[in-house]
Amino acid sequence: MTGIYEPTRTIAVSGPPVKYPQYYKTIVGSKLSHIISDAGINSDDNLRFINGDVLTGYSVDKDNYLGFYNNTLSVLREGNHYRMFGWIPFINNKVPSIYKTSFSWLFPNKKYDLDTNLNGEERAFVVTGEMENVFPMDIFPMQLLKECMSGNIEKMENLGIYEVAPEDFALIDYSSSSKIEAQKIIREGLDLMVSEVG
Amino acid sequence: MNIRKILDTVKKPFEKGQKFEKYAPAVNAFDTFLFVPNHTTKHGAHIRDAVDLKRTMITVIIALLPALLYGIYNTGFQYYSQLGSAFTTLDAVIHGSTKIVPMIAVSYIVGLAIEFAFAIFRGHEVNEGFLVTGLLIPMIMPIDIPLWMVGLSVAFAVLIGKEAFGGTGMNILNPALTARAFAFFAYPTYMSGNKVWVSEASNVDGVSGETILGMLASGESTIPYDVSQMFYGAIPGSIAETSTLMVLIGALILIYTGVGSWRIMLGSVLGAALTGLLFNLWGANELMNFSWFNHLIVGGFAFGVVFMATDPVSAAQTTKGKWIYGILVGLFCILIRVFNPAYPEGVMLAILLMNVFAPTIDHYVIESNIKKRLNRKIKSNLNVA
Repeated sequence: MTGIYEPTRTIAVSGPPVKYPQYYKTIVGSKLSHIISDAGINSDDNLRFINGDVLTGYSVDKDNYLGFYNNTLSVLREGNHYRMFGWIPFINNKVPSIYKTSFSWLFPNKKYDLDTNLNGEERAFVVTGEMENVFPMDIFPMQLLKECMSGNIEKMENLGIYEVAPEDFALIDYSSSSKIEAQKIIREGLDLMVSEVG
Repeated sequence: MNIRKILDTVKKPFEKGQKFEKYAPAVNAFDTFLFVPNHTTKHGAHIRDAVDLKRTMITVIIALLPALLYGIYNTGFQYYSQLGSAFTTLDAVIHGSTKIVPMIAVSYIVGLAIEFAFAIFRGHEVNEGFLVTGLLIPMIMPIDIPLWMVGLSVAFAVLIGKEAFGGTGMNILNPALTARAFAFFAYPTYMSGNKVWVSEASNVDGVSGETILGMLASGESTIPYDVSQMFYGAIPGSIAETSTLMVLIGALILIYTGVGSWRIMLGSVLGAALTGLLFNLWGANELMNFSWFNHLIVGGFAFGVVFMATDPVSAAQTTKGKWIYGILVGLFCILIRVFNPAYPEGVMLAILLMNVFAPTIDHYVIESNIKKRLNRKIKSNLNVA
């Protein structure tokens, strides 16, 4: 507490393509390219830079700048590749899964090379009970998502839209077998509440 | 990769803005069958789990295989046993395959054709749900049902049971059981009685191909099968329902992978066991006297509970709701068996009935959550004041 504005930030640079993952001292709004070269990232590769963490951050171009609020810069390989028969259970265990339809749970200490592949396509809500497993609050996440999609404000209020933020649904985003974009749906639901209720 | 290149050239005319854009879902269905697509995350979390709906559905099919393979064997076994001729396991499997493989083929061809047509018409991707439904439908039919009836039942189930409600994820009734119920009420002579459960039984005189429940319903008290036969499944019945052992293997796969709800399965078994026990104490007719344990291992109870009642779309969707739903499925199954001699097997109607009630169960479970939230709000408002 010296009364002097402190523009320095300590940020963690992490992700599979990072050669030297560690904390870096920098200043607010610094150019990503400086950090990229310091961390030993080959920026010509097919990469995604994320201001924030991999679950809730937003992607930025490599010529862009560090966000004001984030303490993390995550780097992931873009997953724009095909995997032949990758949907068959118990094969392709190199892609981590929290479900037991893959053997990846047998290797809890293995380091995975994560990428941004969707690992499937968006489908209708089919499997029930999986969202509740990764959602700690006393709220019915699937029912709330459905009401957000239909824009039923009264039901959204009743099911607890005021108690959630999009980040709460990040793990649902990650684990949904129907590849539901839960954070986006909740964000739109909250925006609807703001415009309708104020 | 070569196959990839071929696929990309084939897909060219189906891309956005091209000539055959409308038919893209059909081509995409084949493409995503071969390859997990190169789609990357656009919104929300940047990383995604390896699971998708295809993987989930294929897991169910893997769980169905033991029961299906035993069903194929048992079809031949029952056929040669009634003839009284010597046979090998291979003979039995060959006879069963010649009967069952065409049924599966018809089911998939008819169902997938309708699914593809609707996907193109509605402009969404083909959902994988029918992969399971299409295999389930032949597995719960009697062996001698004509192929055109299989096709008609599948068409009815997919059109009226599923697409009319908006497609996968929105149907109220389990599509496979809808198909069976359709055939059951439209063609009762092919779906019940004592001549349909063993292959070619109507052409062989003096053979009793009745199911155990059928015998009990008609008042016979001595059953020519012992408990181990009922459990292992060497008894007449719908194609894949007879072997409780094979169904249990499937149940273990479903529970281990977390694809099937163990709450619904356990709830149903508890409900049926308790109801059976109560009726054992009462004991007014042959089905009431039938031991509660035997109720669990004969007929389609095990198969229905493991593979039909757990269908996530038509079952209750809340955790508490799943328990209530499961227990009531078990209860109604035994009730229908005991009180209605016209339907010696109650599990189909019990599950369909509970499918209809599942949204109501969920409604009350969710209402209690809403009430709790409102009460909390009122309380905190009082504290502020």
